[in-house]
Order: sequence, then structure tokens, then C-alpha cells
Amino acid sequence: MKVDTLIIGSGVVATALTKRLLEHTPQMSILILEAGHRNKTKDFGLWEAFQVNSNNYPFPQIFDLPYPERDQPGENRLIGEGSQSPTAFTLDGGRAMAYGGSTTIWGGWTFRRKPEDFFLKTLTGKGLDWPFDYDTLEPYYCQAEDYLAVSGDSKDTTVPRTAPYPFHEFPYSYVDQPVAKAMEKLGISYGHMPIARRGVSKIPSTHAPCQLTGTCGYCPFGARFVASDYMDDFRRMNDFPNLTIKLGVVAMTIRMATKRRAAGATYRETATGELVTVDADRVIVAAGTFESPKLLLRSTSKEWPTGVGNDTDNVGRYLITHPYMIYAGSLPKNPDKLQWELDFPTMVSRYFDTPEEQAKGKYILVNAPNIVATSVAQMMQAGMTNAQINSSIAGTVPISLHSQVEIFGEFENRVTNYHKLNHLGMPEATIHFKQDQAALDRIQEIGKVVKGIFHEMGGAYEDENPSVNSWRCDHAASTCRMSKDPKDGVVDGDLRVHGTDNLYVCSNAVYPNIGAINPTDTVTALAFRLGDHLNAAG
Amino acid sequence: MYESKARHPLSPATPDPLPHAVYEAMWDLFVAIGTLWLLTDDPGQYRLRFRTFLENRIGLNPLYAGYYLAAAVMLADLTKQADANAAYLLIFFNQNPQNLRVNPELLQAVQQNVAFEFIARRMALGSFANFGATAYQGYMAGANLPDQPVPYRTAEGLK
Amino acid sequence: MAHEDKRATLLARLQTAIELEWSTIPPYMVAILSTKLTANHEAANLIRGVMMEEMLHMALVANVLNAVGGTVHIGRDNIPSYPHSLFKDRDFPINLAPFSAENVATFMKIEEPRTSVGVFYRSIVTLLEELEAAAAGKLFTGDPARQLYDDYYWGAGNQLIPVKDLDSAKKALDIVISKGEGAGDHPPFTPEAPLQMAHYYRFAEIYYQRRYVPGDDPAKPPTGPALPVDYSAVYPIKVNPKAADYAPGSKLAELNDAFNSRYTMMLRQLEQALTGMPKVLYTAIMNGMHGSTSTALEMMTTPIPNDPEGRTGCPTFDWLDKAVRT
Repeated sequence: MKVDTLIIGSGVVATALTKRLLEHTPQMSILILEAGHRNKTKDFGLWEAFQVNSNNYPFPQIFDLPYPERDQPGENRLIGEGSQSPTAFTLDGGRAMAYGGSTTIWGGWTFRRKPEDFFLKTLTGKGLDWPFDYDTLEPYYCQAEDYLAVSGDSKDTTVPRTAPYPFHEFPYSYVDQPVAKAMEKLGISYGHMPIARRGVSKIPSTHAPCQLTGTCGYCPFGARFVASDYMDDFRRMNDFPNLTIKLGVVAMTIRMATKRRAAGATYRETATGELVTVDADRVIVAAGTFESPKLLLRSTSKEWPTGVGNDTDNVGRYLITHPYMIYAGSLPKNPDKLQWELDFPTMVSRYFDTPEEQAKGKYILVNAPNIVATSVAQMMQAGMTNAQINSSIAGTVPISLHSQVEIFGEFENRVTNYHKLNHLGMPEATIHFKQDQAALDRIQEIGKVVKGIFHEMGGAYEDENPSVNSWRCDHAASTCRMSKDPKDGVVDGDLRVHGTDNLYVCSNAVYPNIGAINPTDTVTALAFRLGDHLNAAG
Repeated sequence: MYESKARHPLSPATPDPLPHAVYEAMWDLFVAIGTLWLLTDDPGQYRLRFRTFLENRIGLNPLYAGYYLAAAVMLADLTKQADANAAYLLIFFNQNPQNLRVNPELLQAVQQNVAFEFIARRMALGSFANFGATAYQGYMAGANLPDQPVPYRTAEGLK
Repeated sequence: MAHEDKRATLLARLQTAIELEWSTIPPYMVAILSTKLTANHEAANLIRGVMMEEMLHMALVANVLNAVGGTVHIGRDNIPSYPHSLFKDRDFPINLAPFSAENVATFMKIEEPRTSVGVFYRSIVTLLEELEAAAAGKLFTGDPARQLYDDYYWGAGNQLIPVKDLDSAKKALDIVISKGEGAGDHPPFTPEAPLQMAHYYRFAEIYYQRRYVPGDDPAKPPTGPALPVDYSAVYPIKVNPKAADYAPGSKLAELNDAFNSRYTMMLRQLEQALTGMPKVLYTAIMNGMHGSTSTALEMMTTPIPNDPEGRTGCPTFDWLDKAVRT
């Protein structure tokens, strides 16, 4: 088999890139390889089941298993240390291995990076600058937000923008009120959460808008962007005779014709074990922060003895993610019966996401919708009566603020291949990770700020330690980072692997740093930008 | 619109595989939630959607036909021993002042797969509003339309 | 006509209008589903757009009917059976049939401008005007909670207008008239998106296998770029099937039963949604409409055993009394 473009991975990058390429050249042959399987989305019966089953995803096999323990088989291997050890860094539950990738389950927070996030090295001496600046990416952010169907506040000047969001923001919810008022008193600014939930506009759409169903993990309308839905619709509404998507196949190696030219890839059909060779004029690795470097590292040859693109030993290194914290306190009474009404946040503070905070680690504060995490159904199921439920809701209630903080890449924090295969037939990962003491101190510092906010709300908060301090891989990045100089990274500013002509990586893996915010808006922008680059290159 | 509907291969193709009396018993159980928790909303408005829920549960997992049948048999038996109210108190609150005889494993299966799911569904269909909220997980509250109020409680008096 | 008689006529005509709008939906749905992907995707998209708008029109008429205190009825006695005819003087058969040139020609006839359907809708507007003029403020007394809003129509914003007075009622009916069966003469085309064209012209594009372009004379066929249509890439479904066409106990009989059961439930939920419980519409559409298409498709890919013409199945869109017992 021979194709023009081979894409490895079927997440939002593959979907956005395929759209950009085929709208330019409808006859182009594109093959997409995906190790995972198709999940049924927008099924009313599955949605009902999801709703009555405390929101358990109806998607089998999409997550890694936890690391193995003495009496329990598992997947992947962690060599790590930190306050959370033995879970200094976890994979399970953080990324989705499926047609559509992690957008199958993402929350849809669609932030833009700030201009200073592109110059970490220059401004702080840490890490690495991006090879281009904010203004270069800005038009692509606009396209990404249109594509992802983001509802946001177009008047928000936190980050400069040249076009409005496609849909207007969701107003602050009632549970935002006490937090927002406390922040106002403390001089902490806040804004509307930009969120990938389709709204209603004058532009006709075949996609349904968000109906505030409160079950965002499984949207019955498909109003929260899922890449596989968009890929399916894109194929259905158009006639692209040479677009092929293969599910249940694992890309094992990239084959190089010469040191500079990729010839294609070899993949394995998981069901049969058969190895298949595919030739391609260009290869785009869009397999996420773990599988992208692992694939490069597996692709050894005489020309690339330690893996393609790895002559400078950067592939798989500088692994980062966002420590995600939940700071929990309580309010002594809840006369307004604040409750969990929405399933996504409407308020975020980027007050600590500024150049001044950059060296210590920028962070955001999010008022999660379940700040008052009461589910009436659960209380009923626990046997509480009407009177008990009403007094429970109006009485002392737990509250929480969520935060994620930027940490910095370390050479020794890395991902490599492990010799076993996981449940999808993919080579497992070995993670080397040490939690940085400075980051742990920073998390304590954030706790002090949150304590001040809770205090201002009239709430109690005894401890400055977060009740959840998760170093899960949700926003993992940097393992094939961009660099101007090949000695510092894996790909150049056009996302091409240093030292090659036709091999690209497009993933969170290419971020030299992550900033305080979620990566998907940026990776979608990068995919459209790569599409333009490839279309121009012909 | 070409999506195939999720269905278990062993589930019966016909959407109403259960005897009419079983559906009626399940409906009575669903209605009892309102009585026991003093809910003021009319359950009649949920009847057709409740039936759809039962059909879809069986469509996804054929075991549910068994759960509903077992629940109906158990309700009939408990009602015969005492009355329907005593049966509901046992199933929803684990209260058994009249010492009704019941297989505890069966009771637990009926609670988990039938009664508790009915509670969650009933709340999501609209009964949650009895407890002071205007939107809820599983309630299709409505869209965020330009220039119109949103269907959830919003913050007031912010800068 | 006495005032009360006029009001009764108005309510009856609005009910007829709802039935009229609904009667087009099964034929459009069958035609769309009968096309094999992806050969006729452009044509299928055009028909789908029209079908969605027929749903919108039905909702708009229901808003008018509810606004004047009427009640929508959907049941065994007022759902269409096929072949179906719209009006006595528009007596051509509307079939449940595969996508074909003949069928598209029928769709054009359904949506033809300057017909008695337009006269019919304008008579409703006149009745509304006369009743309102005779007793101002006494006509629009329906429960506002029965109105459907934009929440329930996802094609584009500002279309599903809640009706509260003569002005909004006329706006609502104007959308139905201008897009659908009641349209008058169309002025020469100006640049506009295909989805803004009246239904007739969208079907004409399929029929002539060409797009309209600015400046085209609406009385003549379109002159724009080609619109590819392949009438051979279609499932050979049985036209206007009856339940008796499927042998008892056969797979097609079982599928047809499942389809009709869901269809009946969907109609009942639709009636609920249009008579004061709008939120039931979500279940009717998401579960009933979307959920039944996979069964319909399965029928269309299942051959009728020993059929001399090699035809496949098609749902019969029957009301099932057994599905009425809950």
C-alpha cells in the first residue's frame, strides 16, 4: 500500500489536519492508523445508562490499566519518586486510546497560551523558547476555536484575539457567586471559562448545541467536540475516495529510506498479529505525548541507531504534565441551596497566569461546578428522607477550588518503550519521573492563596494541603519538543523532525513548555498550521 | 443519523419483551419514589420516557429483563405478605418493621439495578427541582441562546 | 361564518397543517436512508435539510395552534399511510420509495410553489386576522408553557419562534409558507446559501443535477455547477411496503415490528411534546427518530426472501396498538 500522507493517531490533530489537507486536495490519499477502537457516541440508551450509573464511561478499553502491583497485574512501569510515590506520575485515566483520542473524554477547556508562554527561556532562564511567537499562532487559534465550537467571552482581553469566539460565553453560574465575590475583595481577577460546547448562532450547523444536560462525559447531542464524531461527519458529508482509517492497528516502526527520508511505516494488525508495510510520501506522527516519542525510539536503523530523530538524545525526555489539585474546604451553611447544576465550570482565574509568576510556576484557579458536590439521587439512594436531604443541602457543605500549575521539563523525566504489550497490543511505557520539590512547595503556596479565598467566603479550610494532588498524564507534553537548534529538541518550528525531510510530529509532545493551561486549543491550532505548511509545500 | 444503536447481541429485538404486568409494577415502583420523598411533580409526564428507559436498559443488557421480572415478583410477594407501602419502605429505605421475608441478595440486586436507577432517572427527568436547583446531571435544561436567559441559576452582582 | 365556527375552522386547519407537514417526513427519511454512502451525499444532504425544516414547520404550526388554545392530536387516526396524497386537488401519490428521479420529481410536486397548499396556509393567516380583529386580545390565550423555543431546533438560530400574538403567529407561518409548500413565485436568484432556498428549488437541483447560481431564472432549470447523482447507488427497497409483505417470524417482520414500536412511541412522545411537555421532544428525536434509523437501514440492507425482483425491506411506518400499552 502506498499513500501520499500517513497519519499515526486519530485524535483531534489527525482530524483537523485531514480536514485542512483534503479541503485543499480532495483526491489526496491519506491513511490514518489507530490502535484503539470506535466508541459509540450520541447513543440515547448509553447516555441513560451513563446517567444512572454515576457517570461511568461506557467506553471499554480506552484507558491504561494502573501500574502492576504485587497481587494485581497492570500496565506500564514507573520508576519514580515524590510525595505521591508510588504514583509520582500516572497514566491510567488520563489519556484515551481510541478512535478520536482523548477528545473522547476531554473536559473541553479551550484556553489560549499567553504571549509570554512562548518565551520561557528568555524570560526565566528555564526550559526552552518556542521557535515562533503568539502572533504567529493567533490566526490558527481562531480557526481552532471555530472548529472545536468554543463558547467564550470575546471581550476578555486576557489574551489578545483578532476574531470573536464562534459562540458567546456561558454566564457565571450561581455557585460562582461566593467565590467571585471573595476574589473581588482580594483583588484577584477572574473571567469566563472558554469551553468547547457548541452554542447557537446564525450560521447553520449539522451539529447540535449544548443543552446543558449535565452529563458532559457522555453528551447525547455531541455538543462537546469529539474528534471521531467530526471525522465521521466530515467523511459522510463529503466524498473523499482516498481517505482510509484503520482501527485496531499499532504502528510499530517508521521505516526510513535514507537518513533524511521516511519511506513509510510498519504496523501490526492487533487481531491477527500480521505485520503490514505501508509506503508514504510523508509521515505525520500524531500519537500523543507518549506514543509519539516511543514510536520514534522504536524506529532504529543504521542511520538512526538510537531511534529516528534521537541523535541528540531528546526524544522522550523533558516529560511534563500539570499537577492538578483540588483544595477542599467547607461552608458552614448554604441557605441559597447552591448545588451542582452544570457539568462544566463557568469561571476561571488566570490572575496567577502572568509573567510575574512564570519563574515559580504559573497556575490557574477554577471554580469547579461541583463546588457543592451534592447529588440528590445519591442521598436518596443512601436512604435519606426528604427532610434530611433538604437540611443537608442547606447546612454545612463541602466546597472546593481546583488548580493546575506549570512545572518545568527535566532531562531525566522521560518515557521509553517497555518490552510488554498492553491490552490493545501497544508496547507499554516505562516512565522515569521525579517530582520536583520546588513544584511541591508551589502547591503549598497555592494552598495559602486558596485558604485566603475560602476565608473571605466565610468558609473553613484547616489544611493547606490539597485533598487531591494528581500528577496524572492528562496534559502531558514536551517529549518531542520544538527547538530552533537540533541539539535542544526533536522537531523544528514547522514540526518536522530535525534531520529529516518528510517526517513530522504534531502533538502536545512538541510543546517546549505547557504554561498553566490546557493543551488542546493549541494542538488544534498547530494541526491547522501544519496543514497549511504541507499544502504550501505541495 | 446513520449511527447504529447500541444493543447487546443477546437482547431481544422486540422492544417490549416483558409482560404488561411487569411494566405496570415497575411504573408503580417509579411512582412510589414521589410518594416516599414527598415530591410535588406529576409523574404522569414521565411515563412514556420511563418506558423508553426500560426498553433501552434491556436493549443494552438482557439481564435487565431479568432484574425487572425479579423485582415485579418480589414486589408482588412482599405486597402479599403485608402491603405495597411496606414493600417500598424495604426496597428504598431498608426498613422492615413487619419482618417481611426476602432473599437479601435478591433485594440488593433489585435495589442496585432497579430501584436506585429509577431514583437517578426520576431526579434527572425533573424531580430534582423539588430540592431547589434549576438544572441537574441528566436533565436537558436547554441551550445557551443569544440574548435569552440561561436555564440555570446565575451569579448576581458580580463586577 | 359565526365567530365560534371560524375558531373551530382555524383549529381544524392548523391540525390539518400539522398532519400535512408530518406526512412528508417518512418519504424524505426513506429516500435519504435508501442512498448508499457516499455516492449521493450531496443529494442526501439536501433532502435531509428539507426534512429537518419540515420538522421545524410542524413545530411552528404547533406553536400557533397552542397559542390559540388548541390541542395537537397525533394518533392512529391522523398519521399518514402510503401511498399518500396531500389534498384532494393535489391528487398524486406520495410513496415510501427509494431515491430515484421519479421520487425526486414527486418531492418537487410536494413542494411546488403557487399551489393550494399556499392558499390553505394563507387562509389560516386570514382566519387569525379576522378572529383577532373581531375580539382583540381574546384569541391568543393558550398556555405559554406549551411553546417550543429555539432550544428545540438546531439547524440555525432565530427560527423556532414562540407565538404569543398575531404578529408572532404571522411570522411563524411566514417561515412555513416561504420555505415550504406554500411558496409563491420566486424572484430571480441572488447569491444565497443552498439551505436558504425554498424546498422546491433544492429538489430541482437534485432533479436537474445542477446547482442554481446567482441570476438564474427560477422558472427554468439551474445552470450552475454539476451536482453528482447516482440513482444506481441505492438500496432496492420495496415501495410502499405493508406489514403483511414480511412473513411472520422472519427477520424483516421482527425488524419492522421493532421499528413500528419505536415509531409509535416516538409519535406519542411527539404529541406529549406538542401538548405541554416540550422536553419530551428530546427523547422523541434522540431516541425515537435517531434510534429507529439504524433499524430502518438494517431492513433496507436485508433482502426479502424469494423476492423475484431482488428487493430489500423498508419500514412500514405503522401505528402499533400494542406499543400504546405502557
